[in-house]
Amino acid sequence: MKKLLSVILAAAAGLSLQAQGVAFLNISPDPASAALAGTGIARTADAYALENNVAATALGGPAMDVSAGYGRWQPQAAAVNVISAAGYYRITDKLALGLRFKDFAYPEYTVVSAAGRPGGSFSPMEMAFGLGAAYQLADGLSAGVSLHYVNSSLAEDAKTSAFGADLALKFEKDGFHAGLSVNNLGSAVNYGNGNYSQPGIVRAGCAYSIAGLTASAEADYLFTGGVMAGLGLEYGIADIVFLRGGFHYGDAVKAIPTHASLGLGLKYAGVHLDVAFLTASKAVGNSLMASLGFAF
Amino acid sequence: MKRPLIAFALLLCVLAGCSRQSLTPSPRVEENHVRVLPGRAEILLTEQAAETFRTERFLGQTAPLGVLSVERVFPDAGEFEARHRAAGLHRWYRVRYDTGVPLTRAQAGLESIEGVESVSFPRRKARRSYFNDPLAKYQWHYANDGTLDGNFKKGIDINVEPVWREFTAGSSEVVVAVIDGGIQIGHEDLKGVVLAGGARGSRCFVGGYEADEIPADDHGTHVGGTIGAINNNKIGLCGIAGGKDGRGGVRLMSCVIFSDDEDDEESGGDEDAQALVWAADNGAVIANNSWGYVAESDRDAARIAREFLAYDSPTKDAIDYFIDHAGTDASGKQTGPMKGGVVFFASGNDAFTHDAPSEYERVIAVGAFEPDGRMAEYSNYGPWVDILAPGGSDSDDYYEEGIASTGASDPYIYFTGTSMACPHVSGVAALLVSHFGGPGFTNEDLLEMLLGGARQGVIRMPSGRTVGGGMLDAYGAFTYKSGGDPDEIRFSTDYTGDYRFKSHESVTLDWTIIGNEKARLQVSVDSDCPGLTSDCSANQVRMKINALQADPGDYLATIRVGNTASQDVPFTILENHAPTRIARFGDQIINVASNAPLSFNLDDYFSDPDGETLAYRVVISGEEVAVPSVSGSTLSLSPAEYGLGEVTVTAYDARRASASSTFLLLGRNAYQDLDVYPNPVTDYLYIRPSQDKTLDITLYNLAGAKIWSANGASAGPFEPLAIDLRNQPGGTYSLLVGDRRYTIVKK
Repeated sequence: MKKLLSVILAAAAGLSLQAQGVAFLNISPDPASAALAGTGIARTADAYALENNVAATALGGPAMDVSAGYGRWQPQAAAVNVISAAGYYRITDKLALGLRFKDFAYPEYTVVSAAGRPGGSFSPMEMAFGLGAAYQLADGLSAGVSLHYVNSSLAEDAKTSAFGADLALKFEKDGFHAGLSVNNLGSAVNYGNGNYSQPGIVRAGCAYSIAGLTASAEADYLFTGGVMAGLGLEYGIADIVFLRGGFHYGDAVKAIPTHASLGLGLKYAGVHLDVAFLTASKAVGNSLMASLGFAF
Repeated sequence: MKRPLIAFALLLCVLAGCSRQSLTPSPRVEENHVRVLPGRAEILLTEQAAETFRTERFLGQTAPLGVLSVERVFPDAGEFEARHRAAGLHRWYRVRYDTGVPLTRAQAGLESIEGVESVSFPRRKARRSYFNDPLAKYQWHYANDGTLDGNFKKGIDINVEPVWREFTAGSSEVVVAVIDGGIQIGHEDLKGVVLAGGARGSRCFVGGYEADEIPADDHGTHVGGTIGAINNNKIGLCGIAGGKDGRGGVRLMSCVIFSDDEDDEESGGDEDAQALVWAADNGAVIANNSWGYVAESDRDAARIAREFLAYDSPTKDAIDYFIDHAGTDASGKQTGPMKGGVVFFASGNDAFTHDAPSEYERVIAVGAFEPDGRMAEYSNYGPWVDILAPGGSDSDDYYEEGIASTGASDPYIYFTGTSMACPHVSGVAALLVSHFGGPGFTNEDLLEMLLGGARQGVIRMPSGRTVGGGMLDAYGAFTYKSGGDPDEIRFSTDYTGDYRFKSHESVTLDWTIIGNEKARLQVSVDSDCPGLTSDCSANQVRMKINALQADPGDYLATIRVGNTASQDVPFTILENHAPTRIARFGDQIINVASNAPLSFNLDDYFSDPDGETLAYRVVISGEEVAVPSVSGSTLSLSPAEYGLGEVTVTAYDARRASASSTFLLLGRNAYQDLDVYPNPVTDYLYIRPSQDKTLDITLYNLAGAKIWSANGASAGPFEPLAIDLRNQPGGTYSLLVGDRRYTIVKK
């Protein structure tokens, strides 16, 4: 493991020399993990497991979970509409397969030439579609891999696509969870003005559950040099109502900035509804994520 | 054309009852009579009628119309007759008929004759006047080309145009006293010419008025206008000595000895004597007297004249005083343009053989002639009449045969009589004093030229009449002395400048040559100036100096007349001075979202020390933000493209010396107050407010990281804020400027 990690970091170091595009890959549409300040790496599998940690799908959690969601990202500054869908299915006790899809629709902008002349308008759009698989290597330990296709359309003459992969490990034992992943390894995107690598990131975290209360923590390292960390707390009442909150720390100029998060989850007869609300940040404050899903 | 003519017709009505002197009666002339020649028609015959035309038969057919004669307009042309016939010219006939037949009846009657295809009436033609005064064309008495009316005779005029052209049109230094009814001081064509009442000015001598009050009178105003109505002012008509620059020529001193009161008008008081003495003491050197003593019969007139000559009277003494003392101060020293005065009197309008005071030997008695070249029937005559001048005809039919001048009751009126002839002589005398006057010039010199230059034997005298002088001839008077000396060649010019010409100027110098006519056939101009061209005739040299074609410096032109005389004309072409920039344009914004051009009066930005009209060239580099055009001194920039251009305006003078001014021209949509460009961006993002201001700016990436921000950053339309995005990855960004949000795309 140690050896693998060092290789990944070296690769990351190399990649970080290059500016990174398709940043939306690191913005999770999962309202549950968003409500927990993004601490999803050690979370028990849910429908958005491929956004959090694909390896988790081969361990605990329901045998199948699917969700569709809608979100508003940075409503004051960027006003991005986020549409998402994700899910997984555990085929055997040890093997699970998963899907994910997310679409970021940006506000229309006026195209302006270098001389200042307006010339029509354009609505940028970025989407990612991914497939993942996880396998239980030993009792309480699983590994997963997720492949994704990315399409980015920023202007009539600035459209690009790429393939990438996430690698993940998950460990669960007696209410203790730990997770590790390296995400967004893949081909570069190019809008005609040079290559931009995918936003590589190393995520590591752990969680502990007791008496309906789950505390989670995560630290992330972005290949660009940015650092993020988060603490989350979830309290489940009769496995029906889930109250969530968290605090996220982020490098102000290189990462998702520091903010606080709140969330609510409802689950009944397999149907679950989750919402998250970010606050205490000028940039990402008032961002909202919501999803409706079904699990059994 | 129509207005003055109607005005004239109306005036005649006004004048009908107001004549004291002999005035033209005032038939109500139909307007079309004013425009066509009376008693004449031109008919076009059909081809067949032309071939079979017989004069006797036509006269028989048209006898009820009073047709007097008929003849071909284009007589048989000999070798060209066939060509004339092919052109149809043989079908035109000229018909003369009784002028009493109304025009409409003549037209209907002629049109009814078989073979007459059409009828037309020859129109009056107006000759071009020397000055631009619109009514001058009616003043046949100045220049008669014989076309104003049927019986006018070419050359029956005072021959004044050559004097205007070659010598003078009158100097304000010369004062003519008009001893008469008052001249209308505020008349539009006499403004500034009539001296105001007061010391060394006009004066009223009749009872019931203040001395400096000048009551306007038609007769006095008419007489004054003939002498001094302002020339070349595009108003009214011409005066003989009315100047040539539109500001008048000689000055008129109105000495009022008549008023509207009939008793006063015929009073035998001594106003005339007082007036003559006043005029002599107050600067006048010429006295015009269009008045005389009333006589009932020729015998009565003879008796009055005999008495006037035999006995002393205030008037006679005053005449003597004017002649002896005008133009001098109390000590007898010459102060005016002429030493001694000249007194002119109208000879009277009764066809008598005697008259007073005009018969007095020390005054110049003026008789009248008509436009056909005959002495006027009404004019008194006899060997004591010193000179004849235009007085017009007292025909009841055509007022154009009278004398047109200024009036008081109406602006322009026709009068007839020796009263009108007299100011013609005074006017020419005033021209002579204007030109020849100066220290040493005497009234005797003037009379020698005036009377000596008169034309003899031109005016036809009615049977049994004689007069003692010839026909007034202005040019004859001016050339009387020089013409008498065959060897004398004299040069003169109206140019009064300093012969220093700016290097861009084009100057015309006219010189007049008078004297020996033979020698004047070889007139030439030599000059060392490459820009000088000349046009020489026997009495005129026109030099045109185009300073542009020569270097600055001193030059000499020499007018040579044969081998006998020459005149050097040294002149200087001054150094050129380049145009200068007098103001900066400042950087400009043009709204390319509209069609409204930016306009500049380039006279506010450039000037030329030499006063030249400048030419301009405008070049726009950088973005073609506007399309420039220059019209005169107005620069117009029509909006074209967004972006920043640099406009260079260069002003050139005629020698291509130049000055330039450059300014930035920003093409933008002026309806919005902030420009954010380009988008998508590849390196720098620019933020440009419509005016200088401070901005709060934040740029977020998609993750929400604040990658650039500034509070209170200064920016302006010509100093946009630049954000370096070269090291930022492709993607979407959010820009907040104040409370405004922009989606920015980096490629």
